[in-house]
Amino acid sequence: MFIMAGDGDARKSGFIRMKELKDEGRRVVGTYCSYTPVELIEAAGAVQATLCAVSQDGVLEGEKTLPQNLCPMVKASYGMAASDKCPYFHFSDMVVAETTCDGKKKMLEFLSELRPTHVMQLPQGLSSDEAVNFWTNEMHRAKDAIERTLGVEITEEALHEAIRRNNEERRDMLEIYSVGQLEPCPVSIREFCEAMDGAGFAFDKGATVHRMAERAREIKEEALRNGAILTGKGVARGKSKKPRILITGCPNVGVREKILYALEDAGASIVAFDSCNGVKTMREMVAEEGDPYRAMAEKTLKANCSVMSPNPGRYVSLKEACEEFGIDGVVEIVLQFCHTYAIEAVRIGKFVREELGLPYLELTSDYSDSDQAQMATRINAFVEMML
Amino acid sequence: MQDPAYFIVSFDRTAATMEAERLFKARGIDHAIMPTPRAVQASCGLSIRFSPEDLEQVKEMIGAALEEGIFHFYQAVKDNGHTSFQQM
Repeated sequence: MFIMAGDGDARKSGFIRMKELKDEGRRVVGTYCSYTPVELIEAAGAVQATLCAVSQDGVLEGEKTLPQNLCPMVKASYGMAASDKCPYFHFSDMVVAETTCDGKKKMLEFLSELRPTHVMQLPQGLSSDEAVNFWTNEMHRAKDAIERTLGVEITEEALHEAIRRNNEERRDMLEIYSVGQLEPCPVSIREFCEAMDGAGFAFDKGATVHRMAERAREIKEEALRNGAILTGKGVARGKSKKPRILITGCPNVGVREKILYALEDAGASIVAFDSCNGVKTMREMVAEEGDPYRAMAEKTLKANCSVMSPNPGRYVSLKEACEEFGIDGVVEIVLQFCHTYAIEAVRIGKFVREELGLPYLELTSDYSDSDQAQMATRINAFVEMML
Repeated sequence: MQDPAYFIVSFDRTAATMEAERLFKARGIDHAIMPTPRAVQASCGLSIRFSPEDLEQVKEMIGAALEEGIFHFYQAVKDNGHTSFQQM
């Protein structure tokens, strides 16, 4: 009911669209992370492309150069680029990336041998104003690098327009995510993921997301007419038809099949994401008044990523999401060798069980299918406990 | 009832796809770049589709220009509305 992409494989359809844009003479900037100020790329008249980082094929290619004991996302990012298996990287004129974690920042040294790569230096914590000042300065440095590499000028006017347009897109994304507040939730996780891919890899993203938001409104109205209820803080309701799960932790696209789809097959309903591809990066808008560089810095620093130390915002955001989406259980995904999420999971687990009073399951995995059966066993037991 | 509908050639590297597309254009062979079908695993994600009557010409052209092992030919077969791909 949500599907927008023609053949259900949006990533690959996006390759074709990307090639057409290149043939038309558009410049392309590849990115990896939600710390990237997409507004700067858009204001430069370039197309932003999310680079490939989620396949086991990419991991094996990455291991030809990088050590094996690194997070699969870092290995796949480099592997897909170096083996020329990622058309988005192939068509990218430059890459804008961040020193998000140790693995990534050292990998970027290798990546910069393949493509002009601007690395934004991310502060390590947010406990003083200095972090925002430093990151604002990094926004200016990124602007200069994009202008220099692409031979373009980023005007204040174009930047303000890009900020306004991306805020609109964030509001539309929140509308789409709000379908997950319905009990029972009428959209399956498979359908939701394919729809998100359709949006993520569409290069008229704003219009695609807007159409999806309109569809989300219709889905909600129809469900409410048919007796569904909208969860929220303080909303009283009976037992969920299926256990309602929130996903938190590392980026999860590379483990969709063996974790997300397995949760649904076990009888649960995934209704919310509090990870990079979830509500937490959409809730905060870039201020449309005042200094746009500081506004972009303030917004992106609110990603609540575990790379920040300490990272108090994540607990607040997690609690809000659990209340808003009527959550019955939290599943944390940790990619192997991601130290910051793995360590933070100890405290997050305690917080979810003791403060929120909800069951919590931490799953550490990679992109291979070697632990598929083990994951399925743990997932089945977790869901059964909530039935 | 089986009907060899069309052929595709998939590539392990994006640069190879781009080089092959240039050759198709230079020779004036009817073709279309398409996302590699899910059933076809080894690929950079892009393939080139062409007609059965051009098969021999395309095999000769690609074989002469690109390194062995980085391209793979598949035959698309439509059977009762379902398309399957057989590696050649």
